[in-house]
Amino acid sequence: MFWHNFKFAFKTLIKNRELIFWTLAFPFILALLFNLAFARLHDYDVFEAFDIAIVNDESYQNAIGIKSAYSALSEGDEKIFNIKYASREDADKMLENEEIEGYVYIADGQIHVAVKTNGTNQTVLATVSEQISQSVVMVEDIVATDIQRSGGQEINIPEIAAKAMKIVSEAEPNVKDESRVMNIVSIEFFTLVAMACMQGAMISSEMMDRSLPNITNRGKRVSIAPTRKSVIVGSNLLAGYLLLFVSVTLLILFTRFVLGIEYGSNIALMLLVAVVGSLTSTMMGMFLSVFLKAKSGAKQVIVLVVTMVGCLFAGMFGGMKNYFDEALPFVNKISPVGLITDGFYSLYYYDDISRYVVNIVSLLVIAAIFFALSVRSLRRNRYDSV
Amino acid sequence: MIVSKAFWKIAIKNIGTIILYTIILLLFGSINMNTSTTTTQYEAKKPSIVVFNHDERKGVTDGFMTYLEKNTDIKTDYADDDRLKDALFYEDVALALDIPENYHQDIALGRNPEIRMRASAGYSAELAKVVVKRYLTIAQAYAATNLSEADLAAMIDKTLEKNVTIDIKSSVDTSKYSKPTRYFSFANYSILACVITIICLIMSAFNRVEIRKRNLISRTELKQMDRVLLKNCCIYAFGVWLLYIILGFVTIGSDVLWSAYGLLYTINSLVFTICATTIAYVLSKLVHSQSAISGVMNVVALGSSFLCGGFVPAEYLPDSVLAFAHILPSYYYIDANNKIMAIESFDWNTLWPIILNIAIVICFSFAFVALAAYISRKKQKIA
Amino acid sequence: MKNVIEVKHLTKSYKSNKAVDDLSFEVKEGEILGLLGPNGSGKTTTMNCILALLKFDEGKIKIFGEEMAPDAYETKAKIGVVFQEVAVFDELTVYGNIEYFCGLYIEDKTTRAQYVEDALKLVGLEENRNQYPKQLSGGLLRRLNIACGIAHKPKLIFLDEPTVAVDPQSRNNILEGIKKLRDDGATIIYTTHYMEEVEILCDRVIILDHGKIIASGTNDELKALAKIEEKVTVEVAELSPKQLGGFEKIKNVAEVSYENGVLKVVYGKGKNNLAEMIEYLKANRISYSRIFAERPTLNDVFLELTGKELRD
Repeated sequence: MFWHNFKFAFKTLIKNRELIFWTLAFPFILALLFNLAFARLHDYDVFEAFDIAIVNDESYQNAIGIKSAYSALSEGDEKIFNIKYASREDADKMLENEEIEGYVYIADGQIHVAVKTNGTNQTVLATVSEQISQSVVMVEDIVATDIQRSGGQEINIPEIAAKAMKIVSEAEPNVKDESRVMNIVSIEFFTLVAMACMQGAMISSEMMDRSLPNITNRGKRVSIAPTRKSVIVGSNLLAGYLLLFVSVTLLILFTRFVLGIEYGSNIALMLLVAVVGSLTSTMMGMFLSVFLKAKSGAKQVIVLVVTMVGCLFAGMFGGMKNYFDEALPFVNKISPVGLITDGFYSLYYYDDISRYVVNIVSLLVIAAIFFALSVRSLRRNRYDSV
Repeated sequence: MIVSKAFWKIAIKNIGTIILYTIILLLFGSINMNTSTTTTQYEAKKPSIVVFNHDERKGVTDGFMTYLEKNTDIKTDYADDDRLKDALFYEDVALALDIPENYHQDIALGRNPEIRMRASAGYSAELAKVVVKRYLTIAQAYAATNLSEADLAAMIDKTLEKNVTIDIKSSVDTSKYSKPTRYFSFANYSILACVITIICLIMSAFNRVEIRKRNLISRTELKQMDRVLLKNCCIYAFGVWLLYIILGFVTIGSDVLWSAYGLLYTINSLVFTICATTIAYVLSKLVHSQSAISGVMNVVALGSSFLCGGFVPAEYLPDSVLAFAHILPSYYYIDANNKIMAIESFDWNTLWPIILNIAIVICFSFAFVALAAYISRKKQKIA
Repeated sequence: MKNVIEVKHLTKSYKSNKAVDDLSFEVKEGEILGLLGPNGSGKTTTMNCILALLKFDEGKIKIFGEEMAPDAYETKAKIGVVFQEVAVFDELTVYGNIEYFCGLYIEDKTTRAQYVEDALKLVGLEENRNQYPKQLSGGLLRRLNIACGIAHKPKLIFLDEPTVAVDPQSRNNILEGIKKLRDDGATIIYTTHYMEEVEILCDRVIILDHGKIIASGTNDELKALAKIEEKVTVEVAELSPKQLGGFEKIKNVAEVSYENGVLKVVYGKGKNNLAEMIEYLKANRISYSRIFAERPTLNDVFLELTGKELRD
């Protein structure tokens, strides 16, 4: 009887176009949209050299150090600038027409940078120009120090200058960069999977509704059949759970292998999040169905709020997670969406799995609470009203 | 009259939908507006860093710390390593730095001691790296010349004072208009959501009534009903638009919007709302069940917002996506908003592209009306 | 004959409202028992109590001699119920729906397939087996609803208003089907507020109002309660008050009314009342267009007992 009911439950579920759309198709569509929209948001590796102009007048020609520094930056594979040499007027015109991001000119021995707006490229131009100008000062300083130290002895100025330039250009601080190259955009997809998971509460809620005589007429029909309620409820929920688990797993695999989202390396633990997350979601749907005899509209709203507010707190829509963690730290500790997201996050970012385990255990505890509360109420066999 | 009454009854019954998407607009629109200053407008905002100084504050170390205090925003309260890791991941902290013991002595002795650095991803982190490395590079260069600790620090400071002069040629601070641009571009989603959902719901309700009444009332009366419905749809859409304009004034401030810029945003959004109404009209001919309506609406509204730069600024979208987005009216609406932001002076050259975009949205509207007419004619033949 | 159901002193109230009030009755094997009453009289509540779906305040219910309980699975296996509301899966075909619900009772697949075919035939949906509920008309949907309830060949069948909002053709089909089920040996409880159905279908009738039995018995026994022998209706264009007064003096006449050109004369007893009426009209030179006589209906019984019409 269990498998008979399971078979039909599964059959009716996969034919329910509305449920399938919201729980299966919609997260996939969102994943695709996310992928398109965020594709370049954190693509720092791709730096493209941009166009600038340099006012090629006498002062520029005389500033030899500056001149060689700029031309060094516009050559080779790692060049930063594409330099156009022009008169001041032409440079102004080019800037006005947005043909260049900015231009450089020398006046009173100083580097001047002219830009139209504040932007990334403008900041790069300004910063690099500042470095060049400081390098010039450094070379001068070092040369001056050497002259001073020589104490009036005969010195070879070009030699000292060359030495100073070598020092400045070769000066490299000993920085040990332990940065981990992480992609914050992954969080959007973690929350998306969590969202898909929790939206699945609608499935189990529907599966419960059809098992209970006080909610649906189909529930009345199965209640008068000579089948244990636990068998009906169990097989219905199992069908819903399996569908949800499969769809969440497909979503994870799709985002991981088709869209190339980074999840960390442990695929088994990754899928364990889907196993446990789907379970929590199923139990939540069961709980909502049992305790809210209200129309499914109310359940939908609750599922939506739990999911979407959870998503917001968990960092969907622009990574505000840490901000919310400071403001309302408990929310992500009890919100299933937050726990699922953090589960993926800790797999991705932490080497040690203790944080992951805390998330998984929390999800299981929440599932157990929903289950216990629901079962207590389900043990009743007769109803006050049907 | 009775048609109008029924129309508004259904609209009021679904007021929850309108409220929901309005709240989404206000909530995410304002988040978007505020974060946009850091993600889209790369102003000289000091990067947040965390420094673990294991050295005494003397000599170069002192100079370095003073320099960091001046040029970065030093955060404390990140002693917990997991907290720091999270903050780095979420880009709340751009960089964490460890200054080793005896740094000031070692550097003066030309030993080039190791500085440990953990940066987050993102622009702010890159900036922080540049800021930190600049000081260390200068220190390293001078250290090679065997200066005393005190001279070294003084020398570095002197060098750092050397700045370039930056001339900003733009007369108008266009960043002032980044907020309304983000707001109105985000409104792409809310306008589509509110207009499509309600109009489709109402039309599908009336279509059911229409079928029932088809035998009872004459063709002309049906046409009359259609006209009344259409009129009410337009009034409703106008109301939605007005609501968003008022909310715009409230959240952005009338000082920004009560201007020629504001007028352009207003006209642009009105034209787009009209277009959204025609889209809703086409969809109402195609989808009838309530669940299908919310599904189609979400795909249309979310899809166009994502693809056209309603959520994520268009300059961060891949070129192929933007190329595709050209077939959607939302693209021209959002693009117009961006162009309005960039206006420096009001003349034919700056206004013409905006007018062109608005005209394209109007053309889309006509195309949708024609499409709707075509669909109903085809359906009538079948029926 | 054995009692299939015994209900004793059943009482069920919703808050202060007594839906079922100290109800006691039996259902005998092989009969069709009609539960007749207006909407809200407690028919469905009684049924749900018998089926152990509802909690009730007091009373005892036995089915096939066993106390009925939610876990009385052996008893439940012998029961089939057709609920008032259509309860089927939109995602399953006609065949699939019957197969699913039948499968909750019948594990053996070949038997089940045979039973499903029988049910399809009984309600006349063989042609529609591959259609989905959304494609069915209201009448056909009701038939499917019935097929789902009885496909497992139960010994005891509850039918709760199975013909509400059904076209005449489907209604006849349904009523024929119910008779066939009885002929095949099932005991049937039939709940309705259509007295005509009860009259043609039921062996015995219980009339309920406000949760209480106000009358029970066979059709004829009940009609005797109406204290009416016959009703004669005459369409008369004009009638003076004097002529009207004359009718009341005719032998056996209990009541006379005249409204909108229709004269209604109720006879308390007597035979050949129609013939005598024709004679009377002729003798008094009253011209009329139509005349016909009716036997009393259960509505008259209900009217007599409660002072109100069965259907509002």
